[in-house]
Amino acid sequence: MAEESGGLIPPPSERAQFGSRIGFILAAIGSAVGFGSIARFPMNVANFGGAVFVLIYIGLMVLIGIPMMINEFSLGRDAQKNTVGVYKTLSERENTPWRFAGHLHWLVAAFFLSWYAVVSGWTLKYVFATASGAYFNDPEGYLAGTVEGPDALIWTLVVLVIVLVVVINQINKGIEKVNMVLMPLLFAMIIGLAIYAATLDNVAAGYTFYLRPDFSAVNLSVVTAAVGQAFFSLSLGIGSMMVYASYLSRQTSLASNAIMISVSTLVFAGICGFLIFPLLSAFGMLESSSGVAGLQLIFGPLAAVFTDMGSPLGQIIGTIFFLAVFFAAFSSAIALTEPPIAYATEEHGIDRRRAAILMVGLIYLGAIIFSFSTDMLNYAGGALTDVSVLVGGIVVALYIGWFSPRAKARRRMDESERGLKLSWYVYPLTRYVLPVVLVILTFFAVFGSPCLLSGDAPGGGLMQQLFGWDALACVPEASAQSAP
Amino acid sequence: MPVQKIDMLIGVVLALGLVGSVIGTIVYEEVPQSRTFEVTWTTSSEGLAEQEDSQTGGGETEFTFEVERANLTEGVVTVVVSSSSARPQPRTVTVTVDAPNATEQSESASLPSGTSNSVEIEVVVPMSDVPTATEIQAMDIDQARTDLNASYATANGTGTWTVTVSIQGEQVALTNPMYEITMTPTLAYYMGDVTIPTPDINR
Repeated sequence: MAEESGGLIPPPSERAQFGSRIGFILAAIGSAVGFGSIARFPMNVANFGGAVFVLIYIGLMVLIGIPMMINEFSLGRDAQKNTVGVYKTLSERENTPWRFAGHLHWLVAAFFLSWYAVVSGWTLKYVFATASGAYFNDPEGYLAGTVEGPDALIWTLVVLVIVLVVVINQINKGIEKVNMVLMPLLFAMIIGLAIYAATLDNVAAGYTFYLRPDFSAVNLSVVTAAVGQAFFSLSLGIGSMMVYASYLSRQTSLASNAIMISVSTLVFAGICGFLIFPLLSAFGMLESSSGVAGLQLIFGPLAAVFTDMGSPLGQIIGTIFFLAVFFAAFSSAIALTEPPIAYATEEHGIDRRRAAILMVGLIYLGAIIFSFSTDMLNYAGGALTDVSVLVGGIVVALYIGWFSPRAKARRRMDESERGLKLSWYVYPLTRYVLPVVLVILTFFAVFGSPCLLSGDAPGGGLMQQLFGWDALACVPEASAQSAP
Repeated sequence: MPVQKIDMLIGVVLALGLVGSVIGTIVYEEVPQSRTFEVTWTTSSEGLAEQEDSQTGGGETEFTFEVERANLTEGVVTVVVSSSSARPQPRTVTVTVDAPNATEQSESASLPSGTSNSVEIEVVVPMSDVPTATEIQAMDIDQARTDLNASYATANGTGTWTVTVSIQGEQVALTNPMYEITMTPTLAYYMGDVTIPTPDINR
């Protein structure tokens, strides 16, 4: 069972490391926060019982999110390698079958970015479009002209070029430095916008809608939504956290870092709710926006709010908002490049500059398809990505829980000079609970679930998206709370 | 891996990117392709101008009004008949609404005997159901909007509506009572809009 026998492997001397603990934490937060934090988590809170959902979410984050993050950190930090190298090193076998798990991680990250870059391109375009008021006359028409076609391709290319400029440098000179600036700026922008939103008229209904505790809304769908949010919102299953941790020194506590990153992500997403719902309420769009989340909320009702604000206020507030959204997306995008680049440099001996150009180039090839077809993008960004990411999570949980010697798995989690040591809690969860939970989530992602995981239609799973087969009926009362 | 090989690989990828972009743009621009648009339906209502008339002793009063709006889900005609004259017997008030392309509807109510009474009668004329389509295929959003209007618009109820108010009852009074009649039409209608589907992102 335990094919691994290696101990703690010293890092290669030429391998870069994060310059500081805060640099690592900010980079990991940057990876975690994205569209889901800004516009999905707050809407889940509003639709699934308000503060009750937050409590359930925190519980599930403790049960699933933080342990999974510690698991990924422990593998990366111990091996100090890319995703493929992690399994080879820890298994002490070049041809270990677990290397395919490593390939899965970096391939999923690259695939993920190939459509995520397209969506990030929309956001960047909207920064300029909002500043100039370009869509204020016809928001729907402008969006339709943005999401696919040559225009979408150009903005995707712009995003990937900016990503390349950052990731072509070593981790401590590129990703770390950029996140050290972007993340504080992002938090400041969101907090500033939330304060501004509080000064508007008729915002009380927005706050009530957001946080009103509603115990009657709690059902299986709510729990499943919280599980999905706890897993997906932390950038798990794609190798980014694993590779980031591979650039981390052994002195720092993985558990402390994981808790800090998870709490920061939660706080960020929570603040976004204090921005979104007052805005929607102040402009009379709360009721019509109920149940609309994610990108649909950002490019639909929220863009309409800035249109209604008119010029120049809507242009100023809207530009800051879309810039914040772009920063969140961009910090996730650069995190997604690291697994493939690390794989190319370490497994094939390609220098980082060439590896970055090659991998970003390959990602661009995929992005061409998604730039010209929103239907394809919907397939890729929906259940297909969910299933891939969940399988990545299952692999990590199985490797640590069932194929690593218990003592070594626990030592990896706890190794640090000071700080929390949680392996006594994380290891049993990883062995007995996480695989089951993740398999259930995968089942929902494949066959459809009660209105939640990510299928863009109620009950939508991978089977429905690909073959129109709606195996599980949606539970309509899942989003029963209506706007006041 | 040798540097020359890597450079060649990078060159091939960049060339493929360039060629793919050009081909994609040409195909997208030149080859007509339809895409899916999401359709959303909303309902709204509007009141038309109130009309007044009066009659003495009972009989029929007719109102007419013009409806230009399409996509009606229902029309509601509210008639209030009031009288301050003394009536020794109750009267039956019947309101009949005849709308274009709709089944004639009528409702009756009793106007009690005595003085200072009134009765309100509401006649609902069902028109068309709100369409259930959730998506439409079109080349672009303008065509989607045009096609949506063409496919799901209905002219039922458009034209002249006639409302007949009939007051009947045994006439035993020496003086015929006066009746004030007001008629208020309200129209409910649906509107369709198309949106570009955007993925629902968890991250």
